[in-house]
Amino acid sequence: MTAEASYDASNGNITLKNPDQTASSALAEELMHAMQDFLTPGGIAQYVTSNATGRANIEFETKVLRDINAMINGQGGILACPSSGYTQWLADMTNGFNTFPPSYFPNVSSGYFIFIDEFIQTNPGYSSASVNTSLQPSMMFSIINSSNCPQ
Amino acid sequence: MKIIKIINVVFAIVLTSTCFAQVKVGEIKTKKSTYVYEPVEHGTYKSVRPGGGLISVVKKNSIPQIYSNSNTKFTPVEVTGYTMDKPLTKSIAEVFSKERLKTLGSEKIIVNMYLDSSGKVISVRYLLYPTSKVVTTELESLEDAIKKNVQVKLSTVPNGAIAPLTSVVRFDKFYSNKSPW
Repeated sequence: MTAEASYDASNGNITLKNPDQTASSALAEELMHAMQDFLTPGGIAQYVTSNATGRANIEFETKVLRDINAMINGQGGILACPSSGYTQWLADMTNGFNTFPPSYFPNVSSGYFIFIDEFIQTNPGYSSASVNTSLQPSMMFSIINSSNCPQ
Repeated sequence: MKIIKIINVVFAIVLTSTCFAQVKVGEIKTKKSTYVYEPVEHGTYKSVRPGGGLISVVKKNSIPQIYSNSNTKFTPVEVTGYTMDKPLTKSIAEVFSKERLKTLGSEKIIVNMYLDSSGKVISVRYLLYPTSKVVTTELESLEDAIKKNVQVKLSTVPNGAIAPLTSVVRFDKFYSNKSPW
């Protein structure tokens, strides 16, 4: 295990490499994977094996929600994509980092698959991950709509 | 009566120019350097935000070439902490007075910090909205303060370029001391 934390879709377990030092954002990401597993028909195991179509979607969706949350709350970090275009897309989706997007509306959909491609190109760990163009970010909206986050 | 009318007209002009002040695209020179203001452009994604998208502001020729190469693969690293407590808060406080923070209100700027392998900031890119009230000399001073104060601890020793560390500076949060870092 090389990542700080991981979610095993075969048994639903989250493993922390070093619990005392695990960043809360890393744990949050794995909880989002658990949520994806719960919400995706047939679970996410079908997408996360090394050559499965859709592994990139599973990873990118959690990172987009992580980045939106961090930017709205004035935190930040190393974003899923390094380009200013990605930051612009996040800003467009969130009304200038003020509100969480409640649905897959045009601002979201116009960038989602553009930036999945950039995510794969710039992150060596996901260079072999393939994109499933019919797999939409439904977990993200489910979490947002069941929360008290401003929309 | 005529004087009152003139005062009203002058007031209206001042108010209009303040409300609709726009960040200008181009180069702005300070005493020490030149800053380049240009629209954020992405090859495929076009901003749909009414009133215009973000403006990128960088010190001229300060961003390493590798960051503008679309084929760059960034070393996967995580930021595990900072060598100084709340380094961005300290940097903001060094540049913006309480009074100035109050005038900036809820304005936000995005700060991209480019790191070297030791976690030190080597260059900075700002992303502003066209209506930003932050001036170039403030951005220059903030860049100097960030380079002095912000040093991050990285999860691994990187072997190659690190993707920029990004933060949204919400001035109202710094005014009320509620910024997390």
